[in-house]
Amino acid sequence: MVETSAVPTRNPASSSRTIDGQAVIAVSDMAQIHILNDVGTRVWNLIDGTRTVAQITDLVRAQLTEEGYEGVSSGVAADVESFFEALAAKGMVNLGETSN
Amino acid sequence: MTSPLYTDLRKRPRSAGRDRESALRQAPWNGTLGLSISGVRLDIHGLPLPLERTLIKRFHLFISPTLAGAEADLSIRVRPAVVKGYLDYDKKQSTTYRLETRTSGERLHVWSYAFAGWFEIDGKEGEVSLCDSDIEPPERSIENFLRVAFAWKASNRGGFLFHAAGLVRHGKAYLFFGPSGSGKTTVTRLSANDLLLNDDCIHVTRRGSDFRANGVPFKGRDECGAENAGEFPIAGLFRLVQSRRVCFEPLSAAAAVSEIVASIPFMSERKEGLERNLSVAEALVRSVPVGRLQFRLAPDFWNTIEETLRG
Repeated sequence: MVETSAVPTRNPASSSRTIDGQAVIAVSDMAQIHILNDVGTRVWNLIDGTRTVAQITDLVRAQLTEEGYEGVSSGVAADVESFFEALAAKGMVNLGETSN
Repeated sequence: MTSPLYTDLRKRPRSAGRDRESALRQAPWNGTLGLSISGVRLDIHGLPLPLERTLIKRFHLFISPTLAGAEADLSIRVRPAVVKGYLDYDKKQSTTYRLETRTSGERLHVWSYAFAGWFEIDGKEGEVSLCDSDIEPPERSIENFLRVAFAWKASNRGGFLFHAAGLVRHGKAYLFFGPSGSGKTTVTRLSANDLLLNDDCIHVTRRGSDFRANGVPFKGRDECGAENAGEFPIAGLFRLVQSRRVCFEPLSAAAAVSEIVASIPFMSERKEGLERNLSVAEALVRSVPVGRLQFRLAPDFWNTIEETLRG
């Protein structure tokens, strides 16, 4: 369960590049390379060490709505939270701190 | 970290072991070797003379005189080790070669069973200690150290060392890559009429948007490997998948970058290495076709490749 007040930070050993709308992420010494889908790329690119999970969710929702995606509101929060769980499990982000 | 680059670690006959031990102990250790690998210059000093002769023969396509006053990308001092070995050799894992790396400040430390050394990632100095060992012959130890050092020096010049087999046909290089066991050596064996650049690794160099494949002196197996020191424009990159059918499937740019970066060895130790790899790989995939090649144990994959590149 991800705290929506948590401020995610990227693993400082990670390197990434967004290529044709897909984030490619490699983490030093972990021998893993990940490619993110559209929503995952948006989330990754919004992680700046100051935004909370809730703020990132709102921004992603706003982006998708503005770009004309239908039925966005209902599933975004769950998708983003589950995405952060997956990123944390893979060591790509740290969800340690919460914003007051 | 287990190296993706396998080497043969069979138990050597006792007589061969004794010959190598006496060669390593012969004094003085003052042999010198200069290598030039597509513009990257590596100088090695302090070799025992029998090993110097062995390496001259092994690397003959890439030998370059060490010139006084000329600056090498890396100057490496070789010393006899004071220990009998470094990494423990596990016979049960004998088909997998272990090579460890670790950064410490501006140095990258590299070690395996019979050698340990370091080199400055951005500087020009390095050192390697060689053991008397029955597990790995000294020429292999030197070569495996040089692979890692060369990977970083090649990166410093904007290119990269690519874990791939390279074949040249009609003046262009076709690079076949994938994890160990994916079929790189098989593809080279199925292409006997083509020029083999290398069955294990290729130096990819870059001049703006122009990418070239270059031979390197490093071998996958002792009976294969460094056949050519030339430089060739790249026709395409082919991620190998063994299959019952033959087809080519282009990869998205992101997928192609991911596959290529996964086949660039030794650079993931530092973030800057990964960043460079991602950047150069993106430029490469914008420049040449990259795709997944399903192939079977027959040379008919070449028909598919040629049809694809014609189209």
